[in-house]
Formats: sequence, C-alpha cells, structure tokens
Amino acid sequence: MIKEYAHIAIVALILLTLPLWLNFTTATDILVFGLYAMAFNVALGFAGILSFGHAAFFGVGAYAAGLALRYFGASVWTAIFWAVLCASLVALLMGALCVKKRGVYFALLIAAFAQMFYFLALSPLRFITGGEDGLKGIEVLKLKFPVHADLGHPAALFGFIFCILIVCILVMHRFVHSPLGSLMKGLEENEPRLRACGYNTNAVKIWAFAVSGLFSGVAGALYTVNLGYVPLDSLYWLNSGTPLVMTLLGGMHTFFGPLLGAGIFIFFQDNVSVYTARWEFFVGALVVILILIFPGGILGTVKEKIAQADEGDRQGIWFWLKKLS
Amino acid sequence: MAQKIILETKDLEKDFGGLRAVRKVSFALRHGEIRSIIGPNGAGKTTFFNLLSGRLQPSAGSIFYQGRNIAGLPQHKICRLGVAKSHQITSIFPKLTVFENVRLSAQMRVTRNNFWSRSQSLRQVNERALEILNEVGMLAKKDIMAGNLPHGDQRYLDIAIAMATEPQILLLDEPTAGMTPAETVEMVLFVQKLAKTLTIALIEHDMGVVMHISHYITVLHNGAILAEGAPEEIHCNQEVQRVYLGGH
Amino acid sequence: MFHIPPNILLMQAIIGLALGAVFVLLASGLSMIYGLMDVVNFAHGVFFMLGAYAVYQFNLTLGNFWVGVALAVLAVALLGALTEISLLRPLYKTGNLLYPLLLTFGLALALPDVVKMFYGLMPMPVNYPEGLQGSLLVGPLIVPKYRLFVIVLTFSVMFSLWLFLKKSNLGMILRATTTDKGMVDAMGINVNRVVTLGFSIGIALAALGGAVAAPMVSVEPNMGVNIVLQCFVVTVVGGLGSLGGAVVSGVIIGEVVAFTSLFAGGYADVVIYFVMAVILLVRPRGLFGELSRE
Repeated sequence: MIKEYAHIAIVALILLTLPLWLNFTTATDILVFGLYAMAFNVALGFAGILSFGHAAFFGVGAYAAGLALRYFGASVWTAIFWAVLCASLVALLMGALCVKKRGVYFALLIAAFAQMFYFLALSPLRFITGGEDGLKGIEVLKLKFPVHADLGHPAALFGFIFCILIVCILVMHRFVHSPLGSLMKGLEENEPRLRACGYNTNAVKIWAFAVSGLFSGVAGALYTVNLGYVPLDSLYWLNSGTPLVMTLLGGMHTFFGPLLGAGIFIFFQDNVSVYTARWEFFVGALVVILILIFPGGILGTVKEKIAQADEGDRQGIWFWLKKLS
Repeated sequence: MAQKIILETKDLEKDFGGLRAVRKVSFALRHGEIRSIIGPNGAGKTTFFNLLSGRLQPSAGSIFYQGRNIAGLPQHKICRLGVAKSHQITSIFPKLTVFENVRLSAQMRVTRNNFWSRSQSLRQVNERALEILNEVGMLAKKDIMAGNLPHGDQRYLDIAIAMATEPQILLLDEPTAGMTPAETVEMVLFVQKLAKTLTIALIEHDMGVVMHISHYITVLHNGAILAEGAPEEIHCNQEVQRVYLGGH
Repeated sequence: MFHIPPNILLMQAIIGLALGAVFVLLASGLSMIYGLMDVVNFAHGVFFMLGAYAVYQFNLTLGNFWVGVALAVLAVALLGALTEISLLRPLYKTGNLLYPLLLTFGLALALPDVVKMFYGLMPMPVNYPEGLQGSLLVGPLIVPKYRLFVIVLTFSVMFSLWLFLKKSNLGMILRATTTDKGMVDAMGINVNRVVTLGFSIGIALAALGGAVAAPMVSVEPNMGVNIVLQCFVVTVVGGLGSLGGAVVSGVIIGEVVAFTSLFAGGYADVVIYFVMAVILLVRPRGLFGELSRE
C-alpha cells in the first residue's frame, strides 16, 4: 500500500517538473486531459465499459462551470462543484437508461445522447451557451480560498489545477482499490460469474459509469478554467475519442497509463501542429500502429516485459544498478 | 429421510424457440440430501440447474425455495437467498489470483457497494476467503493467477467461488468432468464433506460416483423426469438401463 | 405548416427517399461488416468520402460520370480489401473485439487528413451527369431526376445483393460465415478470404453511396465524419447485422430527416439521435436485429 502511495508521489513530482521543460500552457493542458483520460479509463480499463459519449460529461462539466462563472459570478470552487453535480447526474442518468444494452450498442447509444447535448448547446440554448462561438465573456479568475491567487497567472493556474488533479487521483485510486472497485474488475473479466455471485451487475456498471462521468466533469470544469471560455467542440461526440486515444497510448489496463498517454498526445499536438496542420493523421496513424504492435500501450507493455523477465534478470539489473551508483 | 423440503419445482418448463428443453418437471430436494441428476446428453440437466439458479427464466411452472416462489427472480437475488452453482464449463476470473477470486465472491455477504474502504483491509472478508481456500485445499496456491491453474484446480476454484456466497444449497454441474480417477476420488470425499453442512445437488456422468455418493437419484430424459429413487432402485430400473444403453 | 402544396411534399418525400437510399447503402455495408466480423467499422464514413472524391477525380480525368462511379467503387473496394488484409486480419487472433474497432477509429482520424493533403479543405464540385439534371414534370408533380436515379439504382443494387446472398454459392457461404465461422472453416473453406470479400462488399457499398451522393452534397474531407454517426444510427435502429433492417431503417430515417428539415430545419440533425434513443430503449436490438449478438 505504501508502494502505491509512493507511485502517486513520484507521479506528482514528475508532473510538477513539467513546466520546467515544457511551457506552462502545454503542461496545464496535460494535467487537464490527463484527468479526463484517467476518468475515461475508470469506465474502459477498469470496468470494461466502452463509451463514445464521454464528451457529454466533459462538455457538461465545462459548460456548467462556465455558466456558473459567467452568469452567477461564482467562485472557482462553486463552478467546479456545479460541474461535478451536473456531470455525475448526466452520467448516472445516461448509464441507468442504457445499462441493459451490450458493448457496442451501449457505446453508440451514449454517443447519440451526447450528441443531443451538443445540439442543445448549439441551437435551442444558444442564447445562454453562445452557440457555435462557445461560451465567452468569463472574467479572469481569482482564487480566494485557501490562498489568494490570480489565476490569470500561468504558474498559479498550473498550481491550482495540479492540486485538484492530485486530489482526484487520490480519490480515484481509493475507489479503484475499494470493494466496489474490485467488483468492476470482476465485471470486466467475467460478468456472468459476477452475477452468479450475487451482485447486481447493472448497478455496478452504473456506479462505474457515474464515477467516470464525475471525474470527466471535473476535467471539463478545469478545461474551462484553463481556457477562460467554453468551446462548443467540447461536447462533440468524436472528441470522446481523445481520451480514448490517450488511454490506448499509455495503456488501458494501468492506472497511470492514460496520464502518460495524455502527456505524449498533448506534447505531440502542440509540437507537431507547429509543423503541419495534419497532426490528426499522425494521431490516427499512431493509433493504428499501437493497436497492431503495442495494444497494451506504453505502460502496459512495460509492465508485461517486467512481469515476463524472470528473477534472474531482475537480480542482474539490480546488481548493475548498484554497481553504477 | 424425513427432512424438510428445501427446494422444489412444480411443472417447471423451459422452451427455447421451438425446442422444449425442460418439460413439466416436478422435483423436490430435501434438506441435507445429496441428490444426483443423471441422464443422457441433451436431457436438459444443465438447463434445469440454470433455471434453479436463476440464470434462465422458466417458461412456465414454479420454483419454491424454503417455501418461497423464486421463479422469475433475477440471478443475483436467487444467489443471495442461498442457491449457488458451480459451472459445467469452468467460469472464474482468470486475471485475478486465486485468493482474489474467492474474496470477490465472499465480499458479497459483508459489504454493500462499498466504494471507500480498501479491499485489503476488510479483515472479515479476507479471513472468510482464506477459510474457504483452506476447505478446498488451495490455500497454498492462493497467490497464483487463476488462469494459470491446472484444470482440476480451476474446477475446485469454481466451487470455492460458489461456496463463498454462503449458500444453503450448492448445485454442482459435472464437478468431476475432465478429472483423473485420483482427482475424482478426492472430489467425492470433498462433496461428502460439504454435504455435512450444505444440501447438494449434482449433475454427474460418472456412474461410479453417482452410485456411491447419492442419497437419491433423479433421472432426466428429453427434459422430463424418467425415474427417481435410491441408487439401488435406479440401478435396477429397466427404463433407465434402456435409455443409457446408447452410452453417454 | 400544412399550407405546403402536396406536390412539394411529394418532392420532399422523394428527396427523403434519395437520402434514405444513401443511408441504405451505407448502413447495409456497415451491417454486413458487423455481421461478418463483429466489428463496427468506424472508418466506414471515410470510405464513403473516398468514393465521393474518387468519382470527382475520375470524372475530372476521364470526363464520364458513369465510368467514374464504376471505377470509384472498384478502386475504393480494392483499398478496403487491402486494409482488411494488412491491418485488420492480424488482429483477429487476439480475440479482442475492441482492437479492430479502435483500429478503424484510428483510420477514421488519419485518412481525412491524407485527403486534405491532396485536395485541400475546399469542397470539390461534382456536377449532375447529363440527362439527369433538373426535374421531370408529371402534371403538377415535380420529380428531381437525379434523385429518382439514386433511388432506382439503390433499389437495384440492394435487390442484386439480396439475390446474390440468397441464391449464389458464394452468397450462401457469406451468410454461413456470419452465423458460424467455425463450421465454414470445418468445411475446408478459407474463412479469411470470405471475410475479406464481405468486407470489400461492405466498403463497395459505402463507396457507391459516396459516389452517387457526390453531386447532391458537399464533397469535402470531413463529409465522412459527419455522416458516420448518422450511419450508425440507421444501422443500429435497423439492427446490427440485419440487411433488411438497414433498408427499412434507412428509408424511415431518410424521410424523417427530409421532413424535419422542411418543417423544423434546425432540428434535422438531432431528430436522428432522438429516434435512435427511443428505439433502442424500447427495442434494444433494433427493428430487426438478432438477439444476443454480443
């Protein structure tokens, strides 16, 4: 257990160093999308639930926060609270409605529902959401609690989002290792057997989906805080593919894989798009290559290799490491 | 045996499209019995068990568990009431360790959608899981990945997972399938030990096992009960011999 | 709302039917691929788009729309076959259905950019072929010629497909493969080739959809992305794996969209998702889908 908290601490330290070798914008983006991808993976990697509609939770979170900030002059914390509330409710509702459908039907049905939110923001609710242009007019944010900070300053913004991310990581970690978390693992491995053990697997699925939606909503709120406005795109169903690619890249059956994937993806996006507007080609090609060669993603493949290496190899490596230091 | 009836069915039926797999089966299982269900392939034995455990819903008829009609209840509710089943085709959680497999099942009785405490620290659940592993003789193997176990061990694990739900009735679907003669003997002893605290119904093809272990035998043929009785009676029953003459 | 004269309504119905025809082509291809491989082909929209661009290019180079359509279908179908053999086949042995699905998703991301590299972002114009421009006037009725053609063509293609599947040997093998690969394999037939053939037919249908849609819609790199979710809706409503379902569902949804744009323009896009949500909630496997096709 201490080992796991050590892992979290190491990851936190690495994240803190990001602004040193990347600029603040990229670093903060990585934090936000890292959270989004990890939230997505709670459903996919841990409970085996594929969804193409996570943009709904992310986008609802983003808009909820944006609306609170824009029209109600809310504090950042209040905005995040509303994002959490709305995103979880949406996820709970959609999960409950669609839970009886299997695999691909579920994923597509969720995407369809998500697209309805997109449309709501685009047209009927245009007067409050800003329609195609997105929700603009959010003032530069100031943090009043627990410390005073001007969130217009990139370092303060990074620090704030970093803290929220770490809290979310701790909570997600706890959840994944709880009895309910174990049920999710069982769900992914052998759902019929889990039912035969006396569990209402539909309820477990809904819970897993709601938790995934909750944290996606937090990511959405942070997205708004980071950008200073809410683009309509955050609700577009195809953008549910973003956390999917990141998760795949980093490793969908690992806890931190999606975070790593987000890091690489964002880095790619920010640096490749300088050279070419065709970066989606690279992402797509990357997905294709990954699936063919490294379906476990980076972390997944690394873990596999470590597991496969026998004791002898491991002793050998330690021996050489000690010699070198 | 004058024990109370713990599980009974009345005119139970199951149709699959045009196929009637189970026909008007009226069956009564007494507390503390060891009952064997035998019959040629396709007789409807596994379907019958699936109806009892709630995996399938009956097309007609009723199932009474401790006097209460459970037909139509979802599988997980029936399990919670106390009817557990092991599987003809082994069904376990291959990427979890043996211990985690049993613990996952055992936590059903203890936790309710607990999403905060750490699994490891639920001592009650952990102890119960270890107890069960000890009973099936797999304590030494508790940290092995379930998918890596040999066939015989996987079948014991399947049973252990069912036992962890603390059932009153245990339905065993071909527990000795694919086992060597030595393993079969061990399984027979194991089932007899289980029968001291549980009511057991088992589907079996191995006649040696069936004759040795059973208090009563039910013979199914084409989805209906052909004969029922003590082992000696079934052994001498001409109908049963005729049905089995084609081999099984 | 009901001030609209009936001949306009009829014209809209024909437009809806033509739109439905395109959906039918797309959805039946998608359904066939799902039936064979248990994979939802996310790249289906991309092949639709490639069909449109191919007809644009062949039309430009060869000056003949009809030859252009035929070549477009062949070329894209070939590309589909190559894709299946080189990228998808290696994934079958993993047994994990998620991987092929994700791979097609990767293709759906990458290929539009390739097209952008060659053709840029601006829509490419494809004219109605000579002889099919304008409308037929039958008394008070206005019948757009090209759309009528699309309807007739799709009907013929679907009928031929049905004949092929029902009556020909190859068709029967294809159908058997969707039900039980193992059995087909046991009969000594190369299942991999059957799957490739089926996949190519599915892609050919998508390409045909794109080729005939080219004069009617805006031919630009993202046209596939926009249509792919709608295509899923049609397929899922009809029932994944059911060809008949794809036809019925395509027609219904085409009409629904056409009439929604007539009466409540802004909602045309979303009404599709609403229909899908309602149908899936009420009848999870779609109108004609098979049970437990999980």
